[in-house]
Amino acid sequence: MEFVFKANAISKQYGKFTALSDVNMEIPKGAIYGFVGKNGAGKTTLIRVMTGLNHPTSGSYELMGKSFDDKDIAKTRRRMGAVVEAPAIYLDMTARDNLIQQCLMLGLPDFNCVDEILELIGLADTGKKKARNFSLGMRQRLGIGVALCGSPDFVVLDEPINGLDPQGIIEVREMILKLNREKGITFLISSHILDELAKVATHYGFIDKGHIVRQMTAKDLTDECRKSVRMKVSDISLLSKVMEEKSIDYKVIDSNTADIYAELTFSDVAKDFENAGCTIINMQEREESLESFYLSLLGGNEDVQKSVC
Amino acid sequence: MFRNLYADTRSILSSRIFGLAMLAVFAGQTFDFVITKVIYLVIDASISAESIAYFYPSAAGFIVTAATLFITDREFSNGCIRNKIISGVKRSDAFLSAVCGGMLQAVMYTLFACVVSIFFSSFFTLGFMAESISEIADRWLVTTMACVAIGVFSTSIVMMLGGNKISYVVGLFLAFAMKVWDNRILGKLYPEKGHCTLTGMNLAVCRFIDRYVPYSYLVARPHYDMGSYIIGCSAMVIFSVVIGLVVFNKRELK
Amino acid sequence: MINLYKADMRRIKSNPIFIIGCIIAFLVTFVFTKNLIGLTGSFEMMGTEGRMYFVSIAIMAFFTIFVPLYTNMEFRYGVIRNKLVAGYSQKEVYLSHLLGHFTALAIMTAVYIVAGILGGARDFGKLFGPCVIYIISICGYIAVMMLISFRITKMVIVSIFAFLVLNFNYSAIMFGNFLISFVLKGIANKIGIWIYNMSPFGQWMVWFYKMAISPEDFTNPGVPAQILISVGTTLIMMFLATAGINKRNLK
Repeated sequence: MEFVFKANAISKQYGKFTALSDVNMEIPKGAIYGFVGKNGAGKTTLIRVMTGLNHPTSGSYELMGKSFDDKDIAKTRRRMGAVVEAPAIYLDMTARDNLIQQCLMLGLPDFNCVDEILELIGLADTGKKKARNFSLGMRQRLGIGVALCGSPDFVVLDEPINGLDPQGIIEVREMILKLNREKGITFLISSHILDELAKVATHYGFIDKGHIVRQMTAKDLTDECRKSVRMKVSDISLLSKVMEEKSIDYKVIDSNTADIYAELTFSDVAKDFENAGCTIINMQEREESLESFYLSLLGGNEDVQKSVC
Repeated sequence: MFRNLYADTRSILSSRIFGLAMLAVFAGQTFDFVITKVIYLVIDASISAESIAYFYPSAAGFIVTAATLFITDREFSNGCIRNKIISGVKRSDAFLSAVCGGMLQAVMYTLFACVVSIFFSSFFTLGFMAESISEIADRWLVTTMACVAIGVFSTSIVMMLGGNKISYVVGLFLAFAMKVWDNRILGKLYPEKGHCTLTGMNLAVCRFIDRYVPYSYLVARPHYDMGSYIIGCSAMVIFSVVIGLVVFNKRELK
Repeated sequence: MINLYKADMRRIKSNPIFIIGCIIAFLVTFVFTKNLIGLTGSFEMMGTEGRMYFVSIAIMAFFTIFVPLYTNMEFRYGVIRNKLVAGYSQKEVYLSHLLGHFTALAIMTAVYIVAGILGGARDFGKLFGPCVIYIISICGYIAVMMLISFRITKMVIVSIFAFLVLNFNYSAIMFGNFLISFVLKGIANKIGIWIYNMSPFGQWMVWFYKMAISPEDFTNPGVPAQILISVGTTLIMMFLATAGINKRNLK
């Protein structure tokens, strides 16, 4: 599998404070990588290291196959766009001028992409309005537009939907999905809004206290969070027998509890269990949300699993 | 109003830049003394207090402007002015409190400079040869008044323009330009050789600036009556406060 | 880096402070050179070329304001991040800005010369040398301003330091005149003259004094020395500004 970014034991220290500790991370090409963590976990620090704004204290990384200390890394970085923390735009220029400025800086031969990007980010009708008179959402969109100049292969967005209205959030989401689908652009998106991430991300990385706690695909996450019916019965072996007969996916939790991953009709189930001689003590529908999965993985708990990856 | 004034004063006195400005005054005086001492050693002469006692007035315009700019600008760069307005502090109160802070800074820096100057004059020179105690006191009093007026002016500019990048340069540029211009005016009004050749409007303007503009009080020894200096400093304070209040009350805060 | 330079030049040419500066430079140079405001006394006695050279000191004041405001914008707006993300180093960003400011200086000088010619200055032999030497010294001054603007990221501190340098230049030259005339002798005098000429204000004074007041040369180390001092200052400031800059972590 090809990776656009591969981190190998990256650490970053600010004096005595360790912001990142032995971080290993891989972002597959063509993925929309959701980067999740609490405030102060190290998301922005890693993004800053990745984009060359900061240097790692130790460790190394590869960007699109090139090592970070390679002298040709600059050429590789031209194929990357990023919005890190607040959008970096010239407040005394219009949206169009900002994009032209970025194109000039990248050495693009013409500015044909400017109109297309303005259309994409929804700022085509801002005319001569200077960026300092934009709302927060408009500035955010302009920042994303600047990152998209030069048709990058890899785009890093640090909390891109900050300050956007619901319409704007939908537009950004559609834009990310469209660019990923049509142009194969790889995205790294850090966000706190998990439900929104769940709608776009194909891969996830969870970070806590400077460690990558877990990396998984969207499918793995769905499996962890899927709907189930939790049954408490008198005899777990009889439950297993009934489930095997019906070819229903299930998981034994303890000596008299199991999670059943199927839509069940209570009357049919009751009949089957009665025939088998097993008593149902309790039945409960369960669905682990992304939030509760996140909390169980990262939330408030000193026993949070340290770097598994 | 007084609660806000107390909060601002506390913030000024505990800020790092206040301490740094005091340090700059001391360092400047020390540097001036060392250079003067070396020169007097070379020419084989003794230092009188007049040679080193008045370093601060020559730099006061810059020191007071820079310190008030830094401290007042914090309100806008940190966005704290918004907290004040949101929590019910009237704009006039916020402005007046900032201006009082500027005055306080000017007085503190001048007092400290006076103490440092007396220290150096007392221990490292032969003493004052050409000035009486009342003349020395007059000079420091006029310097203090001028610094207060400049502190108010500089603070008003920052409050009026706060958040705008121009506010960073206007006050400092004016302080520099006035210093250069005042030196030139002084040279024309009181030339080293011969007598003043200015006439008519030129003479009137130069006299006015020399007499009533506080920046010029820092360039030379007091040579007008105390009333002129009081009028000059009061006028600058009043104009700065009145215009500043009007502009600040009307402006949009970002 | 050429792309960075092109992008910077585009911004400088449309910067309102630069445009207003050029307009003021033109108007003031024209008015002063032609003496439209009826200046008398020493200004009248300077002659056309003397008056034209006199106003050129304002270029130094202009760049004291312009360089910090323009360069520090990289950090104020955070747009330096775009450049670093795109693969440019901080050294390249610095050099593109420095070249941009040198170009801006060239543009402003051209405006100044045109205004002076229109104002009646014709003795190019008298003006050419001093103007070229002064402009080279301003390059050194711009390098000092760039050092401050690029190394310090907080705008208010940049502004204070920039004007501190300007104030120091002025005070040092005034003091230097006294020292060189009355105190320093022999080798100390020669060293004093070289230090005096490190400031563009000092070099300006040398030629202004010669042109408009007296042909005495008591602070003039000679043209080659002045150029050497200016170039040396520029190179030293460039070194100080870029030494280890690529390793700097930006906040």
